Amino acid sequence: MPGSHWSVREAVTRPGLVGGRSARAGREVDVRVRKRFRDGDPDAVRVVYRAYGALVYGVAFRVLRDRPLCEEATQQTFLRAWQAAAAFDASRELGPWLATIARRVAIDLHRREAIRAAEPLDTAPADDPGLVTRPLTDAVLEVWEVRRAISTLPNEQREVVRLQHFEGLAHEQIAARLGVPVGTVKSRSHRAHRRLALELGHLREGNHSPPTGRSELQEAAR
Amino acid sequence: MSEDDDIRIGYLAGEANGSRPAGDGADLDELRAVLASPAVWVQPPASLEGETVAAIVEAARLRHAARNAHGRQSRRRHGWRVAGIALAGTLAAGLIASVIGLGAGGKRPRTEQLAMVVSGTALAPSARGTANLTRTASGWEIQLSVAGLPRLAGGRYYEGWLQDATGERVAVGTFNDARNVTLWAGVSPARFATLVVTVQRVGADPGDSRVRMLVGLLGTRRHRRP
Repeated sequence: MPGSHWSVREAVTRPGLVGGRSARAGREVDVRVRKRFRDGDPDAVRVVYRAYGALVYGVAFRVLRDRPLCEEATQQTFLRAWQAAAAFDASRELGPWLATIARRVAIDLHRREAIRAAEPLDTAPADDPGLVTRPLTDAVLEVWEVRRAISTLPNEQREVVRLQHFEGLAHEQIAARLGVPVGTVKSRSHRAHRRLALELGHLREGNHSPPTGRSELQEAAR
Repeated sequence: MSEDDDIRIGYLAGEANGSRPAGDGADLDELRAVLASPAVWVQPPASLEGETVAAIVEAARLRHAARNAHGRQSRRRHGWRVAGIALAGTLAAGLIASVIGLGAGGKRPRTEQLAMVVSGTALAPSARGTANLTRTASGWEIQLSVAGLPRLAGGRYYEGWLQDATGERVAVGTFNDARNVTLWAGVSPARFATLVVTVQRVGADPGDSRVRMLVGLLGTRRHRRP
């Protein structure tokens, strides 16, 4: 086992390794980390997991909708990535590659479970991963991109977005839940959605380039 | 930021005055649907990081060990060529001695026993114990005795595996408590020299979960008993 030349703490605080003060989801890890990940260095594995673990888990959840299976899929994704890392070009981003592996692992697990359950085809939902792969690919990429964009938000903005969309609360209800004025919720919400729209390329005007890695994700999924 | 952008943000944010952009609001509806999806918000359990790291670290260790074993075999092959003639002579002498020994009433079958120390992985760093392997007519009996592993129940259980240098594995039995358990192997530990204990889950893939709790390698203790 190769020795560790830097700690996880150092890796998440040194600029250039995972991009600054926090291991933001989907933030690209440094080429040195990728090389050490390839060697099975525990610190590098941890850094890569912290950068991508939640994204991989989200992709698995989109396909499997079952927490124990998602845990299995996440672990398998990283293990397969490590096993295949020798063939990976360390100068490229890990994210799109991991997203592709995660999608495949999750679909494999889904098929395995489907075979075990032996459900009749006519009871399978229309978006069953075993039946429809192309729309699922798009949906998986969407989840990956949206999670990555959400991870760029400050915590208080992220929570407002979560309460609004996931829990379906109105601004007044969010204000009551968080114990802040409605005006604060509205301004956080507006800033958050502006940022999301920019990150995800949903604004029409100005120089809004697609998010980093989007084209690579689509390429990798083909 | 244009007025059109403001309208789009207002619609996305569900603001009171955020009317749906005329003609091209479908992409925003799609984004709103994704934002409402649990897949976007669900978080992995904290323990998964440690399990994933442990699985990869253990896999790396085994790969490293397999490469070392391969290197040792190559060196041994070289050494054997050098000592080939002398070794052949020794073997011939040993064979003659054995035949003489058996002929002199040594018909009692030999019981071959192997032993190893097993220790916990990063998932169970305090776990430690021994495994004694005894060749029987039915196969290899493995007596595992380990302290420091929690008893598993509720759909989770331990599974023992023997693994060879290429990573191929053979299951040797499942159990809940590792303090005193008997496992059975139908393969020779001469080739499958590594004992691995994983945590498995009922209903999950019956194959190796790769969540390894214990590892032991033959060669830590060995004796033959007449």
